[in-house]
Amino acid sequence: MKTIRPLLGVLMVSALLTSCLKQQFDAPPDSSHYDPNLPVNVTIAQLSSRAISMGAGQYAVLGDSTLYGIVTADDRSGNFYKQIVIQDSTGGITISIAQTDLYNDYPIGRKIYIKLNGLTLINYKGLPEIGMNTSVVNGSNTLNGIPTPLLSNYIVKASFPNVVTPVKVRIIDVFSNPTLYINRLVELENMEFATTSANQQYAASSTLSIATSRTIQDCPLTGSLVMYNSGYATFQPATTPNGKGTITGIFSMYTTPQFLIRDTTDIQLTGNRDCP
Amino acid sequence: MMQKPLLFIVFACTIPLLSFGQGKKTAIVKGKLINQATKKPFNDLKVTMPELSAFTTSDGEGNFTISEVPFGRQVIIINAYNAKSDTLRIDVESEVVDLNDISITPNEKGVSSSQENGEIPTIVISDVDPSSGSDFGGGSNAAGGDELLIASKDPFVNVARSLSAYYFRPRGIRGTDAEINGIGIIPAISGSITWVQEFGDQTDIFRGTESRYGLEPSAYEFGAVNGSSYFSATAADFSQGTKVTYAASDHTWKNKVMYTTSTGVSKKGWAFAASANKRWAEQGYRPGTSFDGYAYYAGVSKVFKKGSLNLTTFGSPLKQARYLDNSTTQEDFNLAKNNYYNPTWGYQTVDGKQVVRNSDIQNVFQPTTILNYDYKPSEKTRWNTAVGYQFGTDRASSLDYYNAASPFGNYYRNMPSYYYTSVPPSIQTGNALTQQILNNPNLLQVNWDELYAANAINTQTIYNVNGVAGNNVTGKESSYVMADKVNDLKKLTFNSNVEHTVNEHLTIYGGLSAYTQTDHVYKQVTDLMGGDFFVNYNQFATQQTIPNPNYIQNNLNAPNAVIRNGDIYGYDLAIRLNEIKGWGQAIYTFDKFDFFAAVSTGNSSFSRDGYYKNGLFPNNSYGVSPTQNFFTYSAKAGVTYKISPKNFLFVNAAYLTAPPTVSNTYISVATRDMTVPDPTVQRTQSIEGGYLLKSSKINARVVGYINNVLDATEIKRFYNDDPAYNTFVNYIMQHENTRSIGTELMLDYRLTHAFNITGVAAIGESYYANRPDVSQVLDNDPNQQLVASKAYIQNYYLGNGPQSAYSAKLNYRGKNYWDANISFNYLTRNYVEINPNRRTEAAAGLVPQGSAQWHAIFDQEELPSFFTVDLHAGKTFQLSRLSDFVKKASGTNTTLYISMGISNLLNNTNIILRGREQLRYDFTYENPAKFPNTYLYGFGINYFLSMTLSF
Repeated sequence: MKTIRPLLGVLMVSALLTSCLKQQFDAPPDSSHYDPNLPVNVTIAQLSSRAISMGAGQYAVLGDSTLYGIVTADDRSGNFYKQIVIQDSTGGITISIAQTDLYNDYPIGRKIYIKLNGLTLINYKGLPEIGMNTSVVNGSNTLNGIPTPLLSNYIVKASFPNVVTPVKVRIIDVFSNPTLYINRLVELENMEFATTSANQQYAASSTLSIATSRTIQDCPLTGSLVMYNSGYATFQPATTPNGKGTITGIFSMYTTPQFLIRDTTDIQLTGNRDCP
Repeated sequence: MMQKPLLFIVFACTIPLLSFGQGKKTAIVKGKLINQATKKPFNDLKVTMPELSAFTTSDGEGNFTISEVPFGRQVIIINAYNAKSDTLRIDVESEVVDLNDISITPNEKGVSSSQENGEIPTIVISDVDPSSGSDFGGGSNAAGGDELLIASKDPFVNVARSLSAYYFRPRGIRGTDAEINGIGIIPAISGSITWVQEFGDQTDIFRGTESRYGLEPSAYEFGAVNGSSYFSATAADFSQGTKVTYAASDHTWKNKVMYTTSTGVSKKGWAFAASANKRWAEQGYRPGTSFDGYAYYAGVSKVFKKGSLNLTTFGSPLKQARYLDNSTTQEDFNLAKNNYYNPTWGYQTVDGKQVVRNSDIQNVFQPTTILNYDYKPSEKTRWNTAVGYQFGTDRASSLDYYNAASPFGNYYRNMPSYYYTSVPPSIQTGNALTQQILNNPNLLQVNWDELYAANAINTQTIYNVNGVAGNNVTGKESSYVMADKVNDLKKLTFNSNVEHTVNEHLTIYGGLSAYTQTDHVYKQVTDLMGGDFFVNYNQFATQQTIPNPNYIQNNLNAPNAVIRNGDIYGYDLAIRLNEIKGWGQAIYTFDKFDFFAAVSTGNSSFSRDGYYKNGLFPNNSYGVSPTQNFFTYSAKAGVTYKISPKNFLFVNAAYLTAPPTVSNTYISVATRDMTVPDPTVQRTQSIEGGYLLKSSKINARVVGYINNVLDATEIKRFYNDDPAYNTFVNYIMQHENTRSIGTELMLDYRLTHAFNITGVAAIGESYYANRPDVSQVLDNDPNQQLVASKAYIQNYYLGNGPQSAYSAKLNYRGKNYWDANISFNYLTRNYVEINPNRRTEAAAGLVPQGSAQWHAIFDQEELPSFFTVDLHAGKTFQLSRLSDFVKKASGTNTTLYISMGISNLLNNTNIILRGREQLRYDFTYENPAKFPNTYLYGFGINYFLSMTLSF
């Protein structure tokens, strides 16, 4: 027995030491450059004009077709909320998703495919949007975002990053043909904040107001446009510049035309102010 | 090779008694076994009277009792039943024969293996079900009631202890003391102990020397309101022997191997003992859980003529993947089609394969080393002095995320109920979600690949890193990281306690203990999950009434810090605790009455030392805070009236004070040193009394108790959806009174020598006894002060497990070393833990009183009562007798003990152990179904099988 006991001890100790757990998990392969190349059989422009022709407040449940788009606006700054805007070669459209922090999955520059079967297209106060379905709020149809667990049924992520070059326009152009530019990423040149909107906070604090409208105009003056800034945006307390330059953003509609920036990097008013 | 043990038999007093029996006279024979070498009680020795085929085992204090012994000359054999017998001859001439102290010299072999006596604990005391949830570090949420650590000679306590597996908490109150070799082992921060962490399931070593229930006096400590446990585990406590155990089970761990060896005390007075075990499961009972635990013990003793010097060290490194039950609703269980649904895990692609990964990993190793000198200058005096040091880290991992969606599959906004309860409801979408989740159950789990994908594309530039202008860092900023909440502990403890028998009537006790402890607590990134860095920002600080660019900074001393793997972030501070306590006790023993009285007084203090200057609270986060001091004092006393040697009446009462915990004193200790208004000690009034019957055939107990806890402080932290807040709040309840009142009934009846039956009823009621003072503080806004409010929670039940339990147990201890028992348990009146913020005027809104909705808001849910059957059986095989080969190889003492237990034999998988109201509440539409109750389901049928070879 004198020999068996230490032997057993050694056996036990070695049994104790045999299991060594791995420490760090390996990262899965990076698939951000992958494009599944789904067949696309509808363009954004087709859906957009269908929505506009339906008239404000109307909606339609979509059939079996697929589109693609590249994200041109996400919710990183908080100026967009539970929405992204995508654009293909023909036009742009707003996608409504019942989730926050969408930029983690759908940042600006990500290509996505949308399988439309069962989704709803709405003309919400003049703006074409795609989402899950509608409900009646305050007497009018409003769109509900696609719930997160259902996203995989409708949205297929493709390659990242992609570049969408904004179309250069004047304010007079977007007013003369809003249907062409709606939901599109546009670059406005020779822009200034109106005197009442310059040197102001982009928006009042969210405790006071959910959003604030500022006015931008071109110089020489062809027209002015409402810039809609969320009180929850990270740039809410920042000050609107006084200078002149280019402003990039999404041309949008809320009964009347309005304009949304993604972040303050869209505001390049570095030149001297020309107009009073 | 056997050395004949010396037996000293002292016939001190034989108390003459009234004779009840008309027929054959019988007596009770009792005595106390003392280890000649260590002067300590000798537990777990076998005491048999072969002619009567009666046997018993000495308990933790060496005591044994055999009843129904016929008058006349009798033979008692004391030893392990596998060793050579030592024989005592006694003359039984009175109703009670007290043999008093019997010194046993530990022989070369044998006595240690006597521990195979059927008392090997079954499932209930093995590692607790690992849920998470403490404020710092990994400390398990010990709500399972795993506090009554060791078996008692009282059948009632043993049953109550085994029912703790079903979250039954005796007397509805938490509070026990426990010491090892003199060193207190109840953690100061959490106040409750977990068997797995402190002991590592070393059942060979930590067997318990003394177990006290309720207010019973202890020989080693003042004791807490619900009793105390004492473990003497020095090398000299173990006789020579070696044990090898393998156990299998299907709950927390699947396999256990254990090896224990001890030399016994040598002629020169040296003793060595060592033990180690490993417990593991790659997949535990609940999905996604796993277990990888080790434990070790090593002790050396030098025994002198008048005492022993002992060095003892033990620890139990453990890494376990846990479950989380504070968010799982019935909807989740239904969608998962599994009552053990666990949201913490999910699949990750590793080398093309789908691998289970759990986000909630506890990784703890806090070993303890104790040096104690047990001085015994005479038979009448014992004086133990000990110094203990414990250190190590307790880590609990979780997924942290910054400006990103919840990674958990059961996030409430992604559940069908979110759409069913929306206004107006979206039934169609809810139905679509239900179908989607039923078809893709992995939607309920963490999708790790998606989290890595988000990190991989999030290239960002962080400006002015560490506050250095122009120090810009560009890279992939992780939206999701794995991070540990770490508690790095250092604790030095001193304890000295003395016991002195003054005369046959009076024994006095006293002691002094002190500790100083530092807990360094912080968060640490352990895995950037494919990203390059994380940033030390506070994402909850972004929406403030008065914006300030500093608010987002967790540490103004290094603003915009870029956090890499292994870096500390979030919070970083030390909590320093000091305590000194003294106690004294006297026990008087007379023929008809026993009295005891004990007092304890001390001072507890703690302070916070912040290493971060928090952007929200720059003036009260960095540096050392003022010290919080609490003077404590406690007293208890009791009297027992011995109607006869079998019948006792007793009443004990106590008044205790205890300091508030650190996390119930600082409003948010992670970010600042602001305390609750006027922190106060918590007071407990306790009284217990009743009737005990201890006869040869019947052991009975009729006890009543009341515990009042007064001036308790409790802080709940949650997102308050009340439009007046709409942010995270610290919900402070002060001067909260609770009451536990109940009765404990027990009848233990010996049917035959082999069979006895135990019936237990513990009928209790625990409830809030007043309306506490409520104040709320916004967690992330320095511009808000305390806001007083009122919660109408008086007479709501505490959510502390089944308040009443009934159990019937049939025990068999038969010939050929068989033992078996079956127990039938019924647990009832288990209530969900209420949300006090839901018992307010704001929560009622304009809902008509007495309407169905009003009842849905205010009524407290009672969880279903449940019934279980538990089974245990064991047998010892005398291998030496079976085979000459074994006898030659290992001597005459080789035994194999096989033990098996089955819990929840009827496989009831619908047992809800715990339910909680969510602290979020729909203040807009007063719809309690929007944030429904969360539940924890108990295990279905599960087994335990162990084989122990000892020689």
